[in-house]
Amino acid sequence: MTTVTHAPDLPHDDHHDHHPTGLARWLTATNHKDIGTLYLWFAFTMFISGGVLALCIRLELFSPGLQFFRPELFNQFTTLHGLIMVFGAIMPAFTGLANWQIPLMIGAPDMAFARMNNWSFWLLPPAALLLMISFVVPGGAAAAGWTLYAPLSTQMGMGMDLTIFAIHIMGISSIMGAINIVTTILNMRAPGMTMMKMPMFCWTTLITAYLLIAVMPVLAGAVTMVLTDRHFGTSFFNAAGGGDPVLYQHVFWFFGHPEVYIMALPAFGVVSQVIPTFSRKPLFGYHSMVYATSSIAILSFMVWAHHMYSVGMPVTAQLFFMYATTLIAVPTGVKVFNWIATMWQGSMSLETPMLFAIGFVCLFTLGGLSGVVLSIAAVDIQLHDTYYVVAHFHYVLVAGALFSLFSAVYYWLPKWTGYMYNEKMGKFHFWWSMIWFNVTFFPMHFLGLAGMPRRIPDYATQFTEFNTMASVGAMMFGFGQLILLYNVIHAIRGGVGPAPQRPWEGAHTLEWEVPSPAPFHTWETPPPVELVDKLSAAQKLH
Amino acid sequence: MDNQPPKPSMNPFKAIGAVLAAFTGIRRGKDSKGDLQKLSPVQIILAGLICAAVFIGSLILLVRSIVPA
Ligand SMILES: [Cu+2]
Repeated sequence: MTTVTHAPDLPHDDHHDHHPTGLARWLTATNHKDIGTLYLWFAFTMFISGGVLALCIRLELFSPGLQFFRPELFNQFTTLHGLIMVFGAIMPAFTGLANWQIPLMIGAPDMAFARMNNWSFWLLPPAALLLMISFVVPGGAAAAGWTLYAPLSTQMGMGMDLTIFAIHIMGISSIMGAINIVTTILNMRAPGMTMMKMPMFCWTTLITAYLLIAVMPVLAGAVTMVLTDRHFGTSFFNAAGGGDPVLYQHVFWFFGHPEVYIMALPAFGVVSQVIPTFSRKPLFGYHSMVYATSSIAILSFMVWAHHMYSVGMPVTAQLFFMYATTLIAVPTGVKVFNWIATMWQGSMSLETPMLFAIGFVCLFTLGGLSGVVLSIAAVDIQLHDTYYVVAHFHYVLVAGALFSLFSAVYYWLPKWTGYMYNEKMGKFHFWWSMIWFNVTFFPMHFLGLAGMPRRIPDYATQFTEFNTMASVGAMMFGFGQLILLYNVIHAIRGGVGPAPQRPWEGAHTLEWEVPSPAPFHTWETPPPVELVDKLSAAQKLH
Repeated sequence: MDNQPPKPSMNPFKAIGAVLAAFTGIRRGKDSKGDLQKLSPVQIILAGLICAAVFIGSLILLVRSIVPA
């Protein structure tokens, strides 16, 4: 196929226009590629920080009894692990991907609001800093769990205040990022690229952006109410003052369930780009996938109380949320069939991005299945707050969101850096992650079914074997991620050679029509309509 | 049903049908092409919201009928 290579020894910003270099380039960045890079590196840093917390948790749980950490500190670890991974790693990583890829994929010169884009990124490091320094303030970091349930969250020390402010800041950042994505996609598509000719990744990102705009204010409201309860004498969640702690749970999960899809839908988008490319077939049922994604987005607002079966709810409400939740599995399941049908009779090749995408499909399905189990109210009463839940959402978020991010990084790295990564090392990273992920999290199903509660630093001795297994798996999985870091740095420094413009012959989207590495400015002149039409025809889009 | 050339249709049932098909993910390729030509986004969004409301309503009715008063 096309192998137009860009002289790889040219620096990224070898252009006629003048823009700052060094630190100032990043501080004042308004270029979508620079901001995307910033987001991705920030997310990776947070992934490592949250990962270190996870390893501390697994270290303590290696054997029964208290070995390393006080229970108070252990609770801070679980809380900050969750918050950092959700708000610091996964969400910014997808925003970074969107920043890099959406203008390239729809043929736009940049994001719609370039300066706001800069601000939405640079809000994140201070927020992360607030979370980090909360460990050393009096009383330590927030220890109420990532859900920050009242009345725990209305009682703790100033670590909780720092966390609330961090969430406010990250919320503002997400909303601005989402506004940018919506405006860019709706207004800046190349001529000829109708909505129904957009790559699936753009669709899922667009829908995710709408979800973000809808629910981040709800989360901000919830934590603001916690804040005023703590300091300004209100009693939203304080029963003694006439409030209701269960109200917090309702408001939080009205944010929390769509949040699950905020982390999952972009992953669906990535996989929907990667699988057709490496199956050399168009995506099966593009239209139904667009509609199914929209259905999921709408339905995700009416299932929130499935997180609260054990809180105490009228049976009528329990049944309502149970039926609604089991039904939402339908459009999600449809997507799995779409991906399988895309691979069916395709001429498949198993490069690293494809391996991670197939790993995603297998393991995300498993996580979805345990989710259906948990959606049954009668079963959930038994399994609530056990390790079964921990196993479930790690299958969804690690094997789901994270694996899709790995897939995306390997898939687009040649375009970003201009060099090919080491394929052998990539495949090794996949198999290493796949094996140790399952060693870590599969036994947690058994632990949960046997009744081991989550968020405890010590446990009864009958849980020892599976916990030891999970701890060993977690250490191996965690340190294995250095392979990715090494491979990425290796690729930035030249990798195994310059990347062709289109390293994947089965890829038919616009980002592969610009040189590798993607020049600092792309699509200043929109791609010609004929090109857009040719590519949509290759993707069987009409 | 009738073989008229593709032109904007105001038949609300077509939009509802498209939304229901989207939810289950099953749709003939021919029909899905037709949806795009015959239905406007506003129609589809309206149909989606109506379907969501009907979905909630029927779930509530179902649940009410199961739970003894
Ligand atoms: Cu949920």
